[in-house]
Amino acid sequence: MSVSTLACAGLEAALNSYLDLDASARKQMDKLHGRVIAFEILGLAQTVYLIPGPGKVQLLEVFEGDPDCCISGSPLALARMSDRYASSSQLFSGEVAIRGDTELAHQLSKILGAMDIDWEEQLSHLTGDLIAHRVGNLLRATRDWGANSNATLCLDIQEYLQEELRLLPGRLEIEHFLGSVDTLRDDVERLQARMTLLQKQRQLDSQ
Amino acid sequence: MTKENTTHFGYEQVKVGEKAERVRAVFDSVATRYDLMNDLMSMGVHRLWKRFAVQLAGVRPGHRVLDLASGTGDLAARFAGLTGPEGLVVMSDINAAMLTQGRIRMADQGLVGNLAYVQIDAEQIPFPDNSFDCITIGFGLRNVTDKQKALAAMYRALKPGGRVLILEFSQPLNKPLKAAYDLYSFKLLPLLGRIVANDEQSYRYLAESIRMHPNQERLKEMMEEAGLERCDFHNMTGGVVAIHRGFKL
Repeated sequence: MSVSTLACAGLEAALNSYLDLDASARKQMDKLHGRVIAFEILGLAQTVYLIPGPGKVQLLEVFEGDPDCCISGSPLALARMSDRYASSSQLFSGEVAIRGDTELAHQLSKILGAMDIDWEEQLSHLTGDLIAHRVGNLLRATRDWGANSNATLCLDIQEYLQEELRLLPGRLEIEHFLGSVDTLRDDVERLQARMTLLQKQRQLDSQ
Repeated sequence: MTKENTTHFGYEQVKVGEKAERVRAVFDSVATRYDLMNDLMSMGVHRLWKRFAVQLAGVRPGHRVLDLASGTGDLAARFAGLTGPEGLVVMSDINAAMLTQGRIRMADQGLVGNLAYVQIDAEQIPFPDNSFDCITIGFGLRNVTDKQKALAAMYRALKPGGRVLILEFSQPLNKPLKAAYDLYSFKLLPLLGRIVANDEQSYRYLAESIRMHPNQERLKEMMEEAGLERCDFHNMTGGVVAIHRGFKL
């Protein structure tokens, strides 16, 4: 039993547990029953086959038929395919390549990207609705406070460096400086052109 | 005075006609705790054995698969996923209690579209010649009274180009492992059977029936005698389990 077999088995179990958290994602995945998607993991020289079935997705290392589509990329690039924002940029930058039925690959990416796990619902199985809702509120409030504090901190640091320590220039100063640089560059090019013109004139005069 | 035809039931000698009945009694008894006991006895490793078997079976969308001694359907569930809605998996078992457990489990998992259930004897497969792309038997062949007859029946029911897959306990490859395995089988398993399933005898039969089963090479020869070609086997967990594969060419 090789390491990759164990890894594949573990990944299959993890993927199924993950899909079970969102009933609509599971249903969408079930509709792909009968299709086979191959993931060619570059760098590891390993191909893993994803075979959706009713209620369970299988991940196998060996499949003797032809897969419907083949997605190849590095392990990190493949993992990021489920992120709906990153996936299309990865495709265009060539990090991930798709052969075969591209519509199928797109469907898979959409299913994973659209997963919306209701964590409060999952917690309520353990603690009951009331506590789950309170914990949910607490976590949301903490997350919002965290985001707020982070934004405020960034602004404060920026203000401190720019106005108090004066280590960094402000936006307007930079824009003014860059504008001046552009003007200077244009002036130098005009000067160059004028000098070239005068030299040509001088050569013509001396002939 | 003629000697009656006898065969082995574990370490016991029984009349040939009686063996099937004795095996039925064993599986009637263990049916409801079968999955739990499998997990406990093999510490979950049986799932990896079955994964490997499924990968060797080469089942593809649209295929027709016959799973003999299907029991609670571990293999059949994977095959149902692989054959797709256009394919067919026939779950079969000689024991009604096990087949019922299997059907309940499959229904609970939502596997209903491409599964069929039949109660049959592996020695007499009642399907036309050349019916199936793949015929499998997982941990069932050692319970069959006439293994050669079952292999011949499988050959007949297989399509040309199809394959037979036998997943079964076999002989460990080295002595230390064999010693540890014997200790585990004859001391720990019946105890586990007594505590969990309240049935020590059945698990003692399990350990004994494994010892009476042909070893890797012998089973391969039997497959070749039945007409299967390009037969090979893969040992797993040091030979404790072996997967035999043969083709009808």
